[in-house]
Amino acid sequence: MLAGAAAQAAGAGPDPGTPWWVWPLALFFACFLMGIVAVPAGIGGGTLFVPIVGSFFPFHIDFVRGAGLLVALASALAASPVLLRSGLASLRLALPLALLASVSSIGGALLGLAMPDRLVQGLLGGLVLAIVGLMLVARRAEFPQVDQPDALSQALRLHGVFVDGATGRTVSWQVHRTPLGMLAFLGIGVLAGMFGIGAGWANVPVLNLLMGAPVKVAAGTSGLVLSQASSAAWVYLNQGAVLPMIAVPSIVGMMAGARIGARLLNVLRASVVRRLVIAVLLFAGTRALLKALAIWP
Amino acid sequence: MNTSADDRRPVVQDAAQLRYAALLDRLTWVGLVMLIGSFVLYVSGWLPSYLPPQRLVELWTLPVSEFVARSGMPTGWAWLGLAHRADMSGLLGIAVLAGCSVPCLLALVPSCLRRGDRAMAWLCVAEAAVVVVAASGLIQAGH
Repeated sequence: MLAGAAAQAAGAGPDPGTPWWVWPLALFFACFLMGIVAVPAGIGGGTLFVPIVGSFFPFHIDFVRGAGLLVALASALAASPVLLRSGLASLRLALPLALLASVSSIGGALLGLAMPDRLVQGLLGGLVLAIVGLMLVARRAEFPQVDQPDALSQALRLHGVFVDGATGRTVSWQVHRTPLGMLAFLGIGVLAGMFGIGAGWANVPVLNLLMGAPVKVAAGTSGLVLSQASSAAWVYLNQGAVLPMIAVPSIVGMMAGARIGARLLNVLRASVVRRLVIAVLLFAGTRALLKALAIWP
Repeated sequence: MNTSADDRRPVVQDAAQLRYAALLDRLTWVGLVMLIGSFVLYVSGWLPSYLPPQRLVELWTLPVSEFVARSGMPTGWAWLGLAHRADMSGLLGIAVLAGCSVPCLLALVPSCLRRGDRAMAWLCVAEAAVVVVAASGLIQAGH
């Protein structure tokens, strides 16, 4: 019944005879599955939410983006305290980046809500296909070489220390190219606000490959930035684009799935899950583009 | 190599970071409990809703501006006056989650100033201010 409802929504639109409770239930299960695969695939659930729910559910993209921001926010909020205590997220590193991402995400949200639907769908499709490309080519550096921190990084004391769980060793780190990283977060904030999409796919490479944070610190701090940069969610909330009927089952499903996904991390073959996620995103991105071109409305 | 694997020495995170984590943890749980509790009231029909689910299903395919015009749903903070309605009460939990970074950040400011860490204090205040301005509803968009 749930699959049938989603298939209807992806095709000719929802059947008016479908009981209302089918939708929150279908959302819960869809987000539960997304939460499970998000962890082994190394991508935030918020990144999967907007393209998949936007493609296969009947809700207008405005409500999907509003819920997407909250899914990303709630997941980040739930994880941040643990990551902060272990040193895998750095408050000092997150703050300047979150400040810029917050400001620009307001602009992104205003732009996104003012744009015609088909333009949003087209740009979203392009962005999702770009994320797929990034997932295919991006490499990560576990402990990037940072010979000399830049002046801004030194002034803000952007460095830290954590115990690597894999080796049990204490790792100290510092970052460089801080102004460039801050500029990148300005752009990431615009995209996050415009499309309601979690920004971990962009945050982690910038923190890790550009600024030189160890990959675990980059992943943890990326979540912390998401948890602090909630301004775009407020823009959607104030516009009336956040519906509890869509947002709550999505948040609960995604968080429950992520807990299972984290436990299955050692059981599931991450490369297989990652390929599956790439295939689904490829389909969802293409669907968004076809929606924009009115080929598959 | 500056990012280096050192010897096995005990690591204690910055006190401000730990304080931030503790407060964030508590507020996140408050928000999640409110969110789930209000949703149960909403879908069970124990409390009347402003927009019944059957009507919501008919309207959620519309752009938000049209949805608001046809449903009469409140925008900005007007929903707070209707928080006794099940669907509107769900927004309380959402508001707590979306705003919980603000008290966490502001709680750090006095200790940052005491330590002479003005940059950190300024960043905390600035970030909290941005979220407050966004939450104020002064910033509006539309199709």
